[in-house]
Amino acid sequence: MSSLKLQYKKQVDELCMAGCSVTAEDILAKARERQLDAAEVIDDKTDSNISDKSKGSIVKFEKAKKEKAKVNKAKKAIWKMVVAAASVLLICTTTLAATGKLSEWYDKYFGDEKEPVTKEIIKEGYLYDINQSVTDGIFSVDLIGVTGDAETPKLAMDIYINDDALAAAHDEIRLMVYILGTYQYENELDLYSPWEGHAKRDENVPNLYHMVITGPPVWMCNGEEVVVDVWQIVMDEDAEIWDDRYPNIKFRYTAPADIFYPVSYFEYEDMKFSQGGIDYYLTRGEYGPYRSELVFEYDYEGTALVGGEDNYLELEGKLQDNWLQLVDTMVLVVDGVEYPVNAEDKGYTYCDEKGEFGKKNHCNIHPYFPSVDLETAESVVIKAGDTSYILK
Amino acid sequence: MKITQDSFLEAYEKYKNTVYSVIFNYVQNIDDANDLQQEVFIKLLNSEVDYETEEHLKNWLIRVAINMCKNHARRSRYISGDAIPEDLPYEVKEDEMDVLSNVLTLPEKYRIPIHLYYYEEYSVKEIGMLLDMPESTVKIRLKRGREKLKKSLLKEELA
Repeated sequence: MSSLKLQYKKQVDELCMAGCSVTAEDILAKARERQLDAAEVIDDKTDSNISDKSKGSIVKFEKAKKEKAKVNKAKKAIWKMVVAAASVLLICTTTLAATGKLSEWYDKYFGDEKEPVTKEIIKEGYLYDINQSVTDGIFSVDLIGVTGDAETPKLAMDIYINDDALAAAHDEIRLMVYILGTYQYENELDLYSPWEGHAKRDENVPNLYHMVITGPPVWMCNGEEVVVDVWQIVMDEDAEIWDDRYPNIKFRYTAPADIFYPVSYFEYEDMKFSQGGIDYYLTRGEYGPYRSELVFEYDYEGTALVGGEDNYLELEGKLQDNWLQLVDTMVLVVDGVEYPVNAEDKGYTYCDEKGEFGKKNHCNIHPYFPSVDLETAESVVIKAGDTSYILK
Repeated sequence: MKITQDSFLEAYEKYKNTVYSVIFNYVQNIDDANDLQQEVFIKLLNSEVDYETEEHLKNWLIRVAINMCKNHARRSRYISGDAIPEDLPYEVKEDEMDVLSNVLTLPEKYRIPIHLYYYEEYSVKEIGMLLDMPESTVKIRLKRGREKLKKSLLKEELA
């Protein structure tokens, strides 16, 4: 093989020499050009009106459907409150990202112990500095930047409470934040619920809180404009001063789609997994640095789960129980190593009574497993209870 | 060390073939390889990579290149095994085999480890780290890849 190795090296070198037509100067010029473009785009966005945009590809639509289904469930517990219109001071300052702000911010507040995976992702260069600040007088929020993988994008935020008494009463505050595409924010806001994030007080600055919030990949990772609306700031119910505030704090930003760590996707067909008298069909798999995920679909009509309910809510309770029982027995076996479902975040299920988001009377279940490379694995088996199914 | 303009120029000269050849092995297309090559090095300019050694920088570049190729494949729906261009710009002398085109016909899961092993001379352990796979998997891939390569080279010799 040694002479073949030399021949291979020589041929590759020749290919590179003749094929690679990009020079270092080209790259430097392109990088400078993009920096200037980014500055112009950010300036434009500060004053721009939201415009209608196409809803994009089928994949995007599928993801949006999933997103709607997920958030609709949460919406039941979150009632939108009428906020008295008040004159608020709104100052929005936008600056071109200062190099390394997000990276330094993570180093300082979310060290290796708190967010080790995100730290590694940032080290590999998957991050985007936003550096926008908005205040309404009582609250000031800095949107530091965005990072994560293409299925788990994360926004980094600093929150200042410009009220010493209010800040002194709360070590932690909870933020409900709408994170949507421009079209969805402008036209379909009622269909969505806000995302929840917890901000913890800085160790040295009493009025300052830091937060990382995970948002919807369907809009955050598509390279288009994202609207971030800090809808509600909830103070702990147990604290001395209990209060919910509705600040007028909104951001718009656009981050390139490829700044997120890539996630691998797999489509499956005709893969049936029977358990407890129900046929689950494996439709999709994903893996990224945070987790591996499988997606199963099943028709609940005609199963033992249905019968004797007075309304859909009762059935929904049964479907939830079924998911919780099933997921606890699930184990992913990759190249002989067993990976039980993630203990902290087992995944989720959503069911569609009317066929609004998917097939009528069908449920999807999304168990989460530790991050393991399903793409390069030699063998992949999914087990639930005493049933095993070979995926690869 | 952090990237400055000078260190960027130096890194580009030193690793342009490394990055280009990995990318080409994935995408098998001169134009796409040039586009992705540019993106990888722009990412280096914009990144906060604080590399301790030259080897660290090289590994970082290869990992970014691999990830970009995977993203590119998803975006362009590129399917591994598409026809490889016949007019690739390298010369095969009379007493030589066309090793490169035979490597390029291997399935992706074999040709990337084969390339990193023979062109970059990475160890099995290093390839495992770069590709996020166990050493045992790398060994199997290299073994099967070599077997397939031998078969196709033998076929070429007999033809």
